[in-house]
Amino acid sequence: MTTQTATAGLQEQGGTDFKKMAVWIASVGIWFLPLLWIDPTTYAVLTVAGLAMGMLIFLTASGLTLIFGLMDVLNLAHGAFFVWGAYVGFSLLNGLQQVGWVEGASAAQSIGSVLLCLLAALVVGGLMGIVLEKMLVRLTYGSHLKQILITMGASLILVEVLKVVWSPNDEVVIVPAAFQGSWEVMDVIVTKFRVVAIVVGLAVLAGIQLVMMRTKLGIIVRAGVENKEVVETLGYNIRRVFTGVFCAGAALAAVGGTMWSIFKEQIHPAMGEENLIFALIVVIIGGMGSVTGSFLGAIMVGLAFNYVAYTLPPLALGANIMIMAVILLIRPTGLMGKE
Amino acid sequence: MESKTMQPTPVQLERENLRRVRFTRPALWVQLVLLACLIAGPLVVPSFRAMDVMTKVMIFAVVAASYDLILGYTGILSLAHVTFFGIGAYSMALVVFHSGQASWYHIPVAMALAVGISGVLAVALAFFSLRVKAIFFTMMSLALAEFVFILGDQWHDLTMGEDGVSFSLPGIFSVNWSDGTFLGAALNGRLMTYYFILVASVLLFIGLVRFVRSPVGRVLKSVRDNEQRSTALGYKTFHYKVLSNVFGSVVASLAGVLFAMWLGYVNPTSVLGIPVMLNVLLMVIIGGMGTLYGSIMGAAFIQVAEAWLPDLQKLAMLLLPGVEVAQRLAERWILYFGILFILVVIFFPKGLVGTARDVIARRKLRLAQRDHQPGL
Amino acid sequence: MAEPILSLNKVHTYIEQHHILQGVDLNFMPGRATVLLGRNGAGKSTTLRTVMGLTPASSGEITLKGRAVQAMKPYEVAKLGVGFVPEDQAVLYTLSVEENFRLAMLNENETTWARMETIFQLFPDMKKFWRSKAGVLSGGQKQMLAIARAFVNDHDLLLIDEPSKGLAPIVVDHLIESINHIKNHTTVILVEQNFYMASHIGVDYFILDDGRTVHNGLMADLVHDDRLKQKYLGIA
Repeated sequence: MTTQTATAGLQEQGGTDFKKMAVWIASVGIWFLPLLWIDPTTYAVLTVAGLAMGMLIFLTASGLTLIFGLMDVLNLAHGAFFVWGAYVGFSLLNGLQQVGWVEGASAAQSIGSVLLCLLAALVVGGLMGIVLEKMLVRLTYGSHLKQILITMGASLILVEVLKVVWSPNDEVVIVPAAFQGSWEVMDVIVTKFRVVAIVVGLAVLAGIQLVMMRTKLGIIVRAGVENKEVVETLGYNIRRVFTGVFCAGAALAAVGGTMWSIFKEQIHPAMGEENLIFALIVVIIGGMGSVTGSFLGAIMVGLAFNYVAYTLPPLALGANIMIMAVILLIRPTGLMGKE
Repeated sequence: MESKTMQPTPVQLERENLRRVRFTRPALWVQLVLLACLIAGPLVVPSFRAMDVMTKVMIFAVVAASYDLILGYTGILSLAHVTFFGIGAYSMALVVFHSGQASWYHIPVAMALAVGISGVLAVALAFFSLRVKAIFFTMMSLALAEFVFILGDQWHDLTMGEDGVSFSLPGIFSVNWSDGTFLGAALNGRLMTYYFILVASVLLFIGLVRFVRSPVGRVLKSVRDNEQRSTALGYKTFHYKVLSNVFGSVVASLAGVLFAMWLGYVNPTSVLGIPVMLNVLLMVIIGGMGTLYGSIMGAAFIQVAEAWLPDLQKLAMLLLPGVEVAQRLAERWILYFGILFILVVIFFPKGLVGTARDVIARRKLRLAQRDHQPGL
Repeated sequence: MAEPILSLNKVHTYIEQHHILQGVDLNFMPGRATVLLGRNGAGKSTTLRTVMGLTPASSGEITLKGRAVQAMKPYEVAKLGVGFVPEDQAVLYTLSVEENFRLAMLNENETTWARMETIFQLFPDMKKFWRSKAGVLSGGQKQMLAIARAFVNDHDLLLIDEPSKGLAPIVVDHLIESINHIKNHTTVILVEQNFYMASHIGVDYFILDDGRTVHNGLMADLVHDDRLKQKYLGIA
């Protein structure tokens, strides 16, 4: 076994690592496998659906992976942020419907509606994140067991309160007019909102990368993920950074929730937990603390789910678990996790 | 001729000590009283509901204790434990269901099936727990538990999906059997099933206790406390972890078989999935991790709460008519569950039994110090 | 007599249940480089970490520029003008050299960037590897980066913990040169096992043993005192 030191990063600088290249080629090539038994048009539709789903899972997963990477906190309440975002968006859309901004709305109004939903989700999620971090999560630093227990408890509470504020039943979400329906591109039916989801997902990824790579805050967070102590001795209040990252992660999850609600056109209180499972799988596959890893993992999970759901519906989630298991066997820290 | 007597080892000395005080330890009497209550229960209190609660307490005490073995004694946080429970329950239900007519040998067959499947799955899971870091394993086990739940929910051909499986028990366990009265209680299938479950649960629980007190159990404790040290001492810690995992999982699946026997009906929400897992986890936490007996208390607490909270809820709703928010709040007993969960974790991390043992230990220490150091 | 820039008074520190510092008394004079000497486990690194607040003192006083800092968090101590170069992993491997410096800069203004020019002259490799990830630097270069980074701000005090560890002699010489230049601008407190390095940098010294101060004085005197060196440092 070669000793994995920090200079393993050197290999990225053009060192020949055939095993790594082979894994990468296989990981990319495998996505064209379904073409063997699915016709190209359906494949295209499924691919778009898969990418869209992946993007939305990425929104939740990105926050989760940052929170774990920086704070070493396993936040199982993340699903609660997701579902709250969804319900807030739902209520907002109902409200906007009264002023004619949803059904029968112009393109501008539709875009406006969606943006308002995203904003509302961002704010609500962010606030919930700050409150949760300051009240509960702080008590759990250092103990994964406590984190799991307390965040699960918090999640239960948040979802139950949601059921009190709204209702425990499923609700239908109205989609702004401009985003209803689909386009037809070369025989392939492309649902409009799926494209919106992909665009939002890419925008978020770009945004996160921008902040992480080009701003001082990003430097601080990346440094903190690697070594909290050094960052603190350089004069930064790492606790405040923690709260900020937690807040951002929660906000992202809420945005994911509201997008998902329009994507699926329905919401139910349990959707947070369901999404959390996917997000966890994605974070494991991608590597804890790596946003790019989550992005790749999310695409993989989204695509796999859709391809398998088309052929063998009950095994769709199982397929993702298999992928996770296989990746963990080859590289236990995930695709881009640190060794 | 001088005979060479070997000095007894510290462990042997302690064993001697324990053996001597075995019948005077207060804990033992508490356990015997508890056992007596369970045996006499249905004869003294004819309510079906009470018997139902007691049965569930027994079964879940075993499940929680088996989970405590893995979590509290071996230090592995797995959220897939409920899966084994479900496998046991479904084994029992499906064996009877698919053969049409319930028969004696179905019970041992179901048990064997449960043990077999659980054993294999537990070994696979244990293998993974070695391969990845603890936190990954926890998340993986979470995903696995959800997956099996969905499997149970969707795989209609095998598990009848969310409708669940209804079945009846053979012979004297069947609800149709009855034969007069015994010591004042109706001697029927229910009663016989109750006593069967009682005997089985007690045996399983004792099995767990013996396992933990055995040399294997001691190695497990050392693995939990300081794994590197154990490895350095020459113990193949991985083997022990696998062993404890398998043992705990198998016990849980057998408890699942008992559960199915009692309810006569099995569906995904009652025996699989994260909510049930959380219940079990809470039982262990309330009782105290690493205490085994704490699981009994935790199970009792939760089951009693679950049985009587809906009534409390109805009462609350009667008391606050017309105020809709209050009504809605009263309905959501899971909300209070969640709050309780968090409060226990924050303020009683050692659980009831754990905190009690701590308090007793500290008192003993203070007394000992006083005896050995007069004037200090 | 000038006021000490940093002083420790009967400081005790525990790490878990281990009593590492058992009543440490130290005084560091501004403008004079001081070296903390002692055997392994004597508590030298822990002293620096306690001053920084990473392993807080359980009792005793620590006074920095007249202020009591024993209860302060690390970032508060840093902001008071203390630079810290820890024993291991001072440098952030996944960040570039440039980012390492930018992270360290409390204010990114003209004075700081002017200082960077000085740093480039002292440590030319920093300019050469400006955009590379710090992880690709050699051991010696990483150490230079760590020290240079601490120097980028106009700190009054620089705590440096065993910089020569694992480095080749020629690199150590370069380090000595650099630190000697730095000590003209700021007060340096150096923890070092390498007596050669210590004696070429330090003006004053303190010897720690078993978590207590056992000896102190001028480095110039210590160099000739073989008995002391043998007794507390284990060197002939």
